[in-house]
Amino acid sequence: MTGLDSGERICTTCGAPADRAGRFCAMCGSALATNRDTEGVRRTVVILFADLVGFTSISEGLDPEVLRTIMDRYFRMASGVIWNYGGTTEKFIGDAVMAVFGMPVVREDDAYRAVNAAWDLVQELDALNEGLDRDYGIRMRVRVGVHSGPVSASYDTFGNFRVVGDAVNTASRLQSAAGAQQVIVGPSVAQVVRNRVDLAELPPLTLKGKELPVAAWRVVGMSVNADAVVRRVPFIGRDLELLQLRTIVGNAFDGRRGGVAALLGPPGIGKTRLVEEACAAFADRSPTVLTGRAHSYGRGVTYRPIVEMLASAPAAWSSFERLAETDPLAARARDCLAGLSRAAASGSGGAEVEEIAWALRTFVAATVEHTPLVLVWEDLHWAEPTLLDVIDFLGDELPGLGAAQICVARPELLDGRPSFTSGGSGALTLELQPLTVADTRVLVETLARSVEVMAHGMDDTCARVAGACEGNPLYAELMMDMVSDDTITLPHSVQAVLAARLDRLDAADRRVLEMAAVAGRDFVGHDVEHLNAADGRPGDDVPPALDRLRRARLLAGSRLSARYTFAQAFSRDTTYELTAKRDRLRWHLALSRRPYAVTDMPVYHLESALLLMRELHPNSPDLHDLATRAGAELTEQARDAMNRKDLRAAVGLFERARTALPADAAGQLAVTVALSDTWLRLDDRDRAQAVLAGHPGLDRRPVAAIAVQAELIDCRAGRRTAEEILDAERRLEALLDRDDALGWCLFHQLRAHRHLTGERVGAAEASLAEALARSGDDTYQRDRIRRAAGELTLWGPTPVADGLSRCDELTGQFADSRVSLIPVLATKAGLLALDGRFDAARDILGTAKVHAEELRMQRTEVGFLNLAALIESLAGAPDAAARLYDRARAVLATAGHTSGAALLAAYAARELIAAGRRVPASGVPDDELRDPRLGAMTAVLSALSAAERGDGDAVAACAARAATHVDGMDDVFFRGCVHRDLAGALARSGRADAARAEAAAARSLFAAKGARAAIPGVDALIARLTDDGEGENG
Amino acid sequence: MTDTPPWLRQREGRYPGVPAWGAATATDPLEEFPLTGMPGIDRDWAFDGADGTGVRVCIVDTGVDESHPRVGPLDRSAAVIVDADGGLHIDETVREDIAGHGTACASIIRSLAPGAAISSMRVLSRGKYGTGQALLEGLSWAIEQNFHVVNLSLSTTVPALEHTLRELADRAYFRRVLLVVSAHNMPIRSLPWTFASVLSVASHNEPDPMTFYYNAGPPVDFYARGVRVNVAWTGGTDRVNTGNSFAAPHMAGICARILSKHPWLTPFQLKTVLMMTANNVEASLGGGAAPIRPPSSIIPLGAGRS
Repeated sequence: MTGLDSGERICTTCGAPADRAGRFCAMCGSALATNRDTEGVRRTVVILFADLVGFTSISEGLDPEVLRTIMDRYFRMASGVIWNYGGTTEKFIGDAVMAVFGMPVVREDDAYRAVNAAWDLVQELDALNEGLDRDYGIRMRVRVGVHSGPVSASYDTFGNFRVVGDAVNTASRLQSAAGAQQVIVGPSVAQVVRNRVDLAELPPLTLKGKELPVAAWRVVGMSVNADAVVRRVPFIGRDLELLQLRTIVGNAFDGRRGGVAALLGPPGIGKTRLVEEACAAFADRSPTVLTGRAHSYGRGVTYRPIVEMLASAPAAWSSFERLAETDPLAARARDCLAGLSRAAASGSGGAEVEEIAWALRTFVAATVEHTPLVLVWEDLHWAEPTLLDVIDFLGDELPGLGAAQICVARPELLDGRPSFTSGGSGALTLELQPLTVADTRVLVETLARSVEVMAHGMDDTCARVAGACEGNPLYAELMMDMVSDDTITLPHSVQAVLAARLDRLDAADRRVLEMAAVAGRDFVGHDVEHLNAADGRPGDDVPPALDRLRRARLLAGSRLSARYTFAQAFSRDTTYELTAKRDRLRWHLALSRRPYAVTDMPVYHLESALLLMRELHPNSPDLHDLATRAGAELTEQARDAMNRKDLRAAVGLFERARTALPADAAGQLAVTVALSDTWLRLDDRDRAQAVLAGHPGLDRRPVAAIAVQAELIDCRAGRRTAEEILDAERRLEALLDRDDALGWCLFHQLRAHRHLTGERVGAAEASLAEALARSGDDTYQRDRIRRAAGELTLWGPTPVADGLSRCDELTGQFADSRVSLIPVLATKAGLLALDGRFDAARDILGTAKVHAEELRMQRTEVGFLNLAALIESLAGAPDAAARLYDRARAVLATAGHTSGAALLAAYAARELIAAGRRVPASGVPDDELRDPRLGAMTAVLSALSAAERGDGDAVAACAARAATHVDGMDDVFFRGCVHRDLAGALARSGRADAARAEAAAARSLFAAKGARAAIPGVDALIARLTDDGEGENG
Repeated sequence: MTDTPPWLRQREGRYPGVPAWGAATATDPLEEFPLTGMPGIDRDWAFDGADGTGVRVCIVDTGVDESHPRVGPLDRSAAVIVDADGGLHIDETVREDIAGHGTACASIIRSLAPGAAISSMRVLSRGKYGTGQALLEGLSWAIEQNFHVVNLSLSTTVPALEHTLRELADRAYFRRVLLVVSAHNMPIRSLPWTFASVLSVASHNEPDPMTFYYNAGPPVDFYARGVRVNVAWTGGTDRVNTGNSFAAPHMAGICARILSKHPWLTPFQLKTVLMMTANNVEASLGGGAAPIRPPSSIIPLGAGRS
């Protein structure tokens, strides 16, 4: 009993069965498709599943011939109901019926019609049962499930089609969950129809073959007054449009010309609402508003809007009927119009168009005698040309009669009929644009308040909806219905609207639009031409197609610049979603090889192609290569993002690179390490460690480099003492293979950390050199090591001249990475200051600061202040230096770095003393100071203050303590400064010999560092001590 | 400039901008208005040295997470529960916050009045949303329990609730339960913040939690901190949030401090004290600035201050 209907050829316009050999549909007269693309089409359809309850037990007691008669009656009834609502019966399986709404033509109200069909099926079965009960003594009951979703559909030239997809299974499972004579719908259907259908929510259903429970609703009834249940949203914005439309209506009421308007705009933009508001403005004159709506489906389509319009004003109609009793012309018009409603019901033709137009005019002329009249024609893009003729005719006549006419349609109305003006030269055509940003925001917030009680926190839900709805009130409303915490999903109904639009496109145009969607929301015409050519089609086809799509307002852009953009992001996304995945894969691959001005485009295409290929061809031999390429590109982008300091973006890109790369790819490890580093720089140590723990394959065998990186993370977070690092080094050294370059590279960085913790800068530099030697072609690690080593030249034993040439070298290497360049320039500024070239130092530090500001690198502030202070200190401006140190201290103190702040406070105090000011003693007990720098500085300050008091013994004791701190250090310049200051303190407290020794030590340290700027000061001190000594001696 | 004082002017209609019932005081100082001083009623007198001890504050919201370190133990915690048959009852064992909003309010009050006893009544059952009946039920409970201050960072737009809500607000007022209610973020008519019997709060955009302004143009009484406020959230987290929701608890916290020092103030006295200690009023009085065109019926500033 299968395939009763599916072998028939079907008209793609009205869905009626068509003769196999015919060229035109016998039902609607449209040209029948002859050779449509018959490969699999991806689209969203609505599936209806109906099954008889207890059919086996019914059939048991019946003769096969009787059973056949009964089933024939049932199937005839079922397919009749389905056909009435524009559905197509896909097949009969035993006693089950499966129907599809949206094949062969998608319509935006597919879901509503499917639910209507399901409901009618249940009601009609009751009627059928009357006869069956009478004839055979049996009654049948049915259960129905309705669900929508994407399917892959294929059909041949005869309209045979097959749909495959999860939606089919779900619809069938929903059907099994329904009770007898019940209709159950899934979430996607419920969302679309809930304003027009009464639904009762059911507990989520656990369906066979489904992991997660599926939300479901039972249809309770069809709402009679569909519009009444639609939420009333305040009318927002559109002041100018409203004024114009009101003027039109007012003119008509006053019998002046120009009472005709066409209102154009995309679905949901607020056309109907604007008309309502314009009419409402004349409430005091109680106008009669007649509304007729063109439909995308149904019988008697041409004149049905007129029938609806007359039915919408029963009072006006009955007074016209009264007039007809005495007026023969009115009687003729009445007969003509009444005949239309009969024709609409029977599906056969009626009066000629001129006659109908005249009759309608007569009706209007009679009605305006009693009441101001507005004729509103809705959804005229679906109107038949003949109806448009009638409306055109009326438009010419009405203004003189004192009635207004408003035609509402989507812009594509003009594609089919560019000359349509809805009447005369005085007609106004208004094209509604998206709401302004401010209006959209108010609208969304107003929608948000439609819940009874709401909290007054402003999370960004409203902002996100306002941003995403593109100024379209309908989208805003649908989206507000669907907002959850983090995502805004495209509402199914909006998708259906767009899908239906796409489906009406010419096949070639549709293909071009699909290619464009794959190319991106903004794309260049050449890309689409390239894709067309790659598919073996002539590239010349593309520009005219793009032009047509632009006129259909799906695209914006110009043929001259060849740059286009999808008018709405939704249209791009929906088009993409409805494009067959194998096409997407092919086109993404083709586009990934194109050169682009925007660097992230090839990566986007590569990655999309990779994900599609993994889905469609998981065993393809090309997959590995594609994954490696995509992974490498993403890694590259992530590194770029790191250089831009866009760490969040880098994290995302590294994650994607990890997903893209094959598990065994060489780059995986480097990506893991870089990703964990990035998290660390975002101050998220837990994630940094988690990334390492999640490294692919780690569960099978330990990876030494990962272990080293884990240790490094704790080090960089300041969580490790030198002893702990040393322990780790011993443990890790044993794990590392000789050839594990990355592992060793990280290991030596770890070791450099340990040296730095102990203030052994020279040793740290040596470790970094080793790390650099093992960095190979890992540019990320190499740059990072070089940057660190470059900075150490200032704070270690490296002589100034060597440091400067190192900086110049690095300046060349980092010429195109300002992020890396900044610390190099800053270091160079410090070295120049040591060399006594203060102006050059200030200049170059200024340059580094400008770079940092432009790159918004706020964390560099302390470093800059510290160096600026150093420069001023060396340049003999201790007041300025003290102020700068103090500012740096304040920044660190605010950030909670107490030890750093304490050191900078000590530096500042030292400068103030040098400037001849008195400074209160530090409150930190010296013996608690383990940090050698802070310890030394505190000792120096104590010495200076003891010298002030003239307490020579105390000065000597402080000097001795300072020495214990600095002896192990190899920041030669710092040591020089400590010895110089101690020399000063000792000299002041009258200990000339000790002072001379300290000064000599300072001088030799400054000389070793090449800190020429510091030497004259020491020399002057030595000279003074010598003079004083001679004086004493003499 | 107009001669009409702010409280007699026509209410502004709809205008864009968020928050609509807030004031950009950081850049645009509030307009001055004629004013009568009350010598001796200043910040020192009102709340200096007070920490909210002895004052019971209830947060009618999404619930409060007392395990958050910035909130701490609750005095009482209850929720309005919807029964299977649609009826409502109050469950005094519920101690969770499902959305974070109530916890945020609690952390603000705790930061200003660490000594106050904070309680929670959950009426918003679906995330940040709830039903009007649940609000009535929960608010009635809070008023019955005689809390000193009730924080309501929410509102309803259901006109049918107006009568009952107004009666509840009046009841609270006479029982000396001060309702501190946040204004809607948008220029939208909602309840109960627009009632005269409550203390209504919108946001200013300055970072100081103790800065608040008196607003002479109804329906908003005060502006308090409500822009980019760091608040506690669910799961022991913190976040920066904006909205009049966070301005109300600032005022609730300040009220708790005042009441802990002056426990017998009535709601109308408390509003007066707040007005006199508001930054713009104090500045105007303290600076001795002459009011703009004082009507003859109002004693000029400074007359009672010498």
